Amino acid sequence: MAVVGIDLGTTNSLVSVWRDDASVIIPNALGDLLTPSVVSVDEQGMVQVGKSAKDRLVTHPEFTASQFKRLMGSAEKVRLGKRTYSPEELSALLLKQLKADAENYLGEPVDEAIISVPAYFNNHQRTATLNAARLAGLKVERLINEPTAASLAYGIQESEEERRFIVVDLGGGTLDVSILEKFEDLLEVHATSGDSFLGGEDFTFAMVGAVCEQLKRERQSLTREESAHLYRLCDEAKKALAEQHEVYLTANIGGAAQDIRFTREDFSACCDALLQRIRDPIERAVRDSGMGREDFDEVILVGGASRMPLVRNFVGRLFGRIPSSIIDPDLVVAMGAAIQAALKQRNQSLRDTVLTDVCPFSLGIETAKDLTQGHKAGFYHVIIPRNTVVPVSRVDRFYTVSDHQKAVQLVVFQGEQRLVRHNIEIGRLEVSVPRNKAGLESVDVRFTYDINGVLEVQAEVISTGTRSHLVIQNTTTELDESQLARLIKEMEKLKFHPREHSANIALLGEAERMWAESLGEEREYIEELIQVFELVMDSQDVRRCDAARVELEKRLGDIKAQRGHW
Amino acid sequence: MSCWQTLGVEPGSDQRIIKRAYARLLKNVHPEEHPEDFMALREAYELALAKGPKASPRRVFDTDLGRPESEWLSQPNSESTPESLPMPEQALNPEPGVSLESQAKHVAEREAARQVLADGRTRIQQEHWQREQALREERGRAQQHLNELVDYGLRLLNDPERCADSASWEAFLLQPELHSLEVRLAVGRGLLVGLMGKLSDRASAPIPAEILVRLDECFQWGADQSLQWSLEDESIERLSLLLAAARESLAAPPRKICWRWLGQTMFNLKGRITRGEYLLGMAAVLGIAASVLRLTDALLPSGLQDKVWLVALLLLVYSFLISYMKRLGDSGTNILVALLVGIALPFAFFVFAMLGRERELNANNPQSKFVDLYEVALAELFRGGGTLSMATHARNFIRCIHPNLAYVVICSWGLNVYSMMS
Repeated sequence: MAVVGIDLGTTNSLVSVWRDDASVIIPNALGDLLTPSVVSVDEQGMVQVGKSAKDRLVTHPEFTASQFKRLMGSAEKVRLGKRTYSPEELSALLLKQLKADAENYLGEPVDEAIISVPAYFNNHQRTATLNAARLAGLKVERLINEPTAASLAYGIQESEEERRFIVVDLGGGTLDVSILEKFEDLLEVHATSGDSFLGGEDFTFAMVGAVCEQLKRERQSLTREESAHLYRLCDEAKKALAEQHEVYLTANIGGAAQDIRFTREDFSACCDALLQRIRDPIERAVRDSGMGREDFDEVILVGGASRMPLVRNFVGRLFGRIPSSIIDPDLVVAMGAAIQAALKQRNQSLRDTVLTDVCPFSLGIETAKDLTQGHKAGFYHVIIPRNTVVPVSRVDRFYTVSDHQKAVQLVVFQGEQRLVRHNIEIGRLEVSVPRNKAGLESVDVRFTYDINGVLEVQAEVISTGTRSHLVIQNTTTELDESQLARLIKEMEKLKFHPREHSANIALLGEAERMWAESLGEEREYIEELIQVFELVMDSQDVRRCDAARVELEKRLGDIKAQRGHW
Repeated sequence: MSCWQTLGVEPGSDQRIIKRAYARLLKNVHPEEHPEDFMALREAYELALAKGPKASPRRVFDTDLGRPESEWLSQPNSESTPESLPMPEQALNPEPGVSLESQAKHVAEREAARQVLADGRTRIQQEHWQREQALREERGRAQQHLNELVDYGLRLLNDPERCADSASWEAFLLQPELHSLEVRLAVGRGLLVGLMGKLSDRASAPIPAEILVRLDECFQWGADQSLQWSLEDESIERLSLLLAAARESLAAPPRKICWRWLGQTMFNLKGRITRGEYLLGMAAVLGIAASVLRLTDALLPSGLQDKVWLVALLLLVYSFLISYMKRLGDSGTNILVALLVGIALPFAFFVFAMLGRERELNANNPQSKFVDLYEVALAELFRGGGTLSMATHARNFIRCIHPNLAYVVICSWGLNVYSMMS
C-alpha cells in the first residue's frame, strides 16, 4: 500500500511518492506535475479539477472556485451553481483527483497520505484540512509543515554535516518562515513563523488593482467574467515580469480591447505594502531562534511566488546575501512530503534521519492578574511557548482569585497576544475546587502537546488530588461521524470525467476561454474550431478525437503565437 | 540523574559534544515512538546547553563587541588554522633501511617542508588578522551608525512636537538601514527603553495612538517574547495594555455617517461580524427604555416616547434582515426575505395607520374591539385613498400599536437570538 505526499496549495497542488530512493512527483492525466487548485462543478454535477477548471474560471466563474485554501477553517462557503460548498468539500474534490492520479500512476490503491500545510496554520485550519482528507477517503495521520517539508527535501540532499538554514516559503496564499539546523542525521527545526493570509495571489490582486486604475474602472464595477479575465491576465503578466522588464496586456473589458503597459517599477510600486508584510514573520523567526544573520549558511526560497525578482531581492536585502533555490520552488514541498511519508514508513534508505519539529503557536490559558486596582481577567498565560520542540509536556500552577471560589474555568488559547481576546480559543475545562480563601487553593495545569498536534490538558487540584483532563484533537472538533458520512454520500453524487477524456476537456476549456477573451473575427474563428471539435467528440471515436485534438492544439497555438501573449 | 548522565557526556562539555551526543541518542529515542523518553532527553539536552560553556556566538552587534579585543584576536578561527593542513607523513617517519644519503635528503626535504608550512602558517595568520581587522572596523562603523540611529529615534521620541508628527516618524522608519534585521532589532530595543522611560514620566506629552501602533508594527514589541527577559513584568504589562488600547482606538475610529458608508454597511454582506447582533442589542435596550418611559408616562411629553418606539422598531427590522442575510449567506434567500419584508412592512404600516385613524375617531370609546377596528380599516382601504397626510398616518400608527409593541419587540428579539444560537 503506497503512502503519498500531497502538497495542497492555494494555487497549485502536487502529489508525490518515494520511489527508488528519490521523491517522484506524480504527473496528472494531462502529464503536468502541477494541478491548479481550481474546482468546477457544471450544471450536470460533473466535476472538473485542475487546468480545465482554471480555464472555466474565465468562462463560467459562477460554477468555479479557486483559492479555497484561504477559506479553510472558516465557516464561509462557496457557491457553485445551485449548491454551496464548504472549503473542506472543495479541497476534498481536489484531493480525490490527486488520489486518482496517484493510483493511476502507481497502479495500486492509495489510501494514506501525508499532507503538507502552512506551518502557521492554526488548529481550526489544520482540522479543516484533515476533514477534507477524510472526505476524500484518505487516511492522514500526519500533517507536515510546508517549510519543514521543503527543508527535508534540501536536508536530505545536503551532504555537509552541519548546516543552518532559513527557509522562506511564499506560496500562492501563505507565507511561512522556518529556521532549521542540520546536524549529522538530525534535522532540527528551531523556529517557525508565518502569515497564513499572504501569498502570490495577493501580489496578483494588487496588480489587478493597479491595472483597474490604469483602465479608470472601479474594481467593483467589473462583472465576474471580466474580473476573472483581468485576474488571469495579471497572473500571466506577473510571471512574465520575472523575466522581462515590461509587459503589454490586452484587456477585453466592456466589449473593447485596451492595451496596457506594465513595468517592473509599476509592479513594485503596487506591491510595496505586501513586501513589508513579508518582513515581520522573518524577523520574528530570527528573533525566536536566537541566531543572528551571519549564523545562517543558506537562505532558501521556496514556493512559486518566490520566483518573483521583487521578492528575491527583498529577502536578499534582508539577509545581505543571495537566496538560493536549487530545487524547483514549486515542487520542493511535495518532494519533502514524500520524504516524510517514507520516513514515517521507516523506509530503509532514510532510516537514520530524525526530524524534530516545533509547535508554531504558543499555547496557554486565560488568567487574572493582580494589578494595583484589584484583579483583572483576560490575560494570556503561556504554558508552552511557541517554537518549543514537540512532543513536549509542561506544567504550571494557578491559584484561585476570590474567596469561596467553587470552580476554576480553564480556557485554552492558541496565539501570541498578551490579552486572550486577541487569541484563538481552542477549548475549555472546568475544574471544581473546595471552597477556601482566595489564593489558598491551587490547580496544576499540564499541557502535553504531541507530534501530531494533539494537545492534552490535565488539571490536578492540589488539595484534593482530583484530576480532570481534556483532549483537544485536530480531528474531532467540527465534524462528527454521522455528518461525515452524510457529506461523503453527497459527494458521491458528483461525478468526475473519465480519465481518458481529460485532455480533450482541458483543451476544450482552454479554447472556450480564448473565445471569451477574444473579439471580432478571431472570436468567430475560435467558435468554428470549437464546434468542429465538439462534433468529433460526440462521435466517441477515440482515434478521430485524438487527431482532432492535435489539430485544435496546433491552431490554438498559432493564434497564441500571433497575439504574442496569452 | 543529571542532564550530563542522561546525555552520557562529561559535565561542562562544550556545545558540539553535547549536540553530537544528543543526535546519537536521538536515533534510539525517536520522537514518534518514544515520546516520553524523547521529552526527557530533550530536557536534558536543553539544560546541558544552558549550563555548558557557550560556544563563541557569531552575533555582530551585541556579543562580539562586548568581548575584550585581546581575547578574540588571540583566538584564531578554528576552521582556518594551519593545524588542519596535511603534514607530509612520509617525511616524518623515514622507512628503516634507507641509505644515509637519502636520509639526509629526507631531512633536507623535511626542513624545506617545515619552512613552507611555517611560512604558510604566518601568511595565514596574517591574512586572518587582516580579515579580522577589516571585520572589526566594519563592525565598529556599523555600531556607530546604529548608535546614531537610536539617538535620532530617541530625540524624535522626546521632541514634543515632532513626536506627534507621523511624517517625521515615517521618514525615520523608512531609512534603508532599517531594512537589515539586526539593525531594526537593536534600534527597536533602544527605542523601547526610551519609550518606557517616557511612559513612566507623567509630565511628558502622550504619544498618539497611530504612531504607537506604527512603531509596534515596525519593531514588533508586542510579539517579542524575548522582551520578557529584559523588562520588568509590570512594565511589559503596561506596554501591552497600552498597545492594545492604541490598536483598539484605531480599529474603531469615530466614523461620519454618510450615505455611501450607510449603503456599504447595510448591503455589504461579506463583513465579518454582526452589526445585526449589535443592533439587536440596541433595539432591546431601546425597547426596555421605552417600556420604562411608558410607566413614567406622565413625566414626559408623549412625542419622545413615540420617537423612541419608532427607532426601536426600525432597528429591529433592519437587524432582522441583516442577521438573516449574514447567517444564510445566500443571495436567493436574501432576496426572498427582502421581498417579504419589503412587501409585508408597508402593508402592515398601512393597516396600522388605518387602525390608528379609527382609534383616533373612537378615542372616546375605549371599549371598541380590535376586530371592529380592523374591519373599519379594511373598509377604508377598499374605499381607496385616505385624506390624511403621511405624518398623521405615521403618528396614528405609532399611537395605535405602541401599547402592544413592547411585547412584539421583546418576543421577536428573543426568537431571533434563539434562532441564531441554534
